[in-house]
Amino acid sequence: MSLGDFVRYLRAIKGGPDFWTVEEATGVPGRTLREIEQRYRRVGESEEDLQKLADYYAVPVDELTWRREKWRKLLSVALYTAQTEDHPIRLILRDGPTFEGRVLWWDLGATELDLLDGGERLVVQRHAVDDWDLV
Amino acid sequence: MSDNLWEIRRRKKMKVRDLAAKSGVPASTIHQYEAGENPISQAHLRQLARALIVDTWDIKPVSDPKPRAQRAPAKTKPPREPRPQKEAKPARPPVPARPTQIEHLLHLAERFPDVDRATLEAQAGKTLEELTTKEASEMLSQLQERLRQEQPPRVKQPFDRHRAYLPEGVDEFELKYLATAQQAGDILHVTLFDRKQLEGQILGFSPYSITLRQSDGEETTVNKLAIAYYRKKGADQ
Repeated sequence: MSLGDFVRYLRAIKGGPDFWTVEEATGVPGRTLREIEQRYRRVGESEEDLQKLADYYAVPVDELTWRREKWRKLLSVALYTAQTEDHPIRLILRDGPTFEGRVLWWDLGATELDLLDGGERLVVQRHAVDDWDLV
Repeated sequence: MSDNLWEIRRRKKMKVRDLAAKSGVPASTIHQYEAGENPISQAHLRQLARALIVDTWDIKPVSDPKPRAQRAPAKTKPPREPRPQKEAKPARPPVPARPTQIEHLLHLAERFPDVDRATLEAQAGKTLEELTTKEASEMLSQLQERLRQEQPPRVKQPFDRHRAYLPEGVDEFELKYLATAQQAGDILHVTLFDRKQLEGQILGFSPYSITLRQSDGEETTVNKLAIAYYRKKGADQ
């Protein structure tokens, strides 16, 4: 799960405060919050801002900095490589199981895997993917 | 003692548009009141007084027109003296062709079987190194024009796109998947982040949510943000 997806998830869990509310509570500019949640490239350069967000959402800052290195485009590259090279991919889900399979399609929000064990097909939401690697 | 509306407004250092925004009275109406064209209506008087933080009786019901500021007469500029005629510059000496131009010429020549350095030099009547920038530029234009004319026109392919097509920019694959499942009456088995599981027929979906009708008839709309993964079960299962 990218930093953007994770922060969006935390905001939803907190009851969905809008960017203005978060800005007021943390001091992190709304523009930065929007960038973190919406951009596909690597975001969240400011350690200070990440610390403020970690305090606000009551999560360890390490979790945010770790997720900063899992930006969305990296998952896109992995899914693209897996699909075009017909290479199985392993998706490790947040607080959940690990799936290995071939990528049938992928897009903005999800990917469908043809699982290696049992031939079952599954649609995984991209925001649920914590980590991944090509098998 | 009451004052004109425009006097009070100026004292309060407000512009007409500020007063309009604060009072809710249209700016054009305020202009009419300030010009004394119309008496201020009772309702507007109250709104304006509240916005200006004065009592209603502080504002004259009919304003005296604002005195117009006298404009200073426009300064007349003395006529310009004609500029002295500049002396014609001497013609620039010819600049030798840039090495990149010569390189470009030779590169273009490779595209034609009948053109090489010798033919180019014969056409110019001197070696390429002796060309000026203007001459080299003209020769380049000739070759580029010939190249354009001799190349077959490119046929536009149906898959030609102006922009890169990246699946990460669309969510059409998931929407197609859900649309197909909905039409087929498939049962969707959804696992949420908190490990809760839902099963039901797809009633509707959007980029952000999926609505399911569960076996007990209950309809549930799940935000996709809460979904970890889902799979399709056959309609007959």
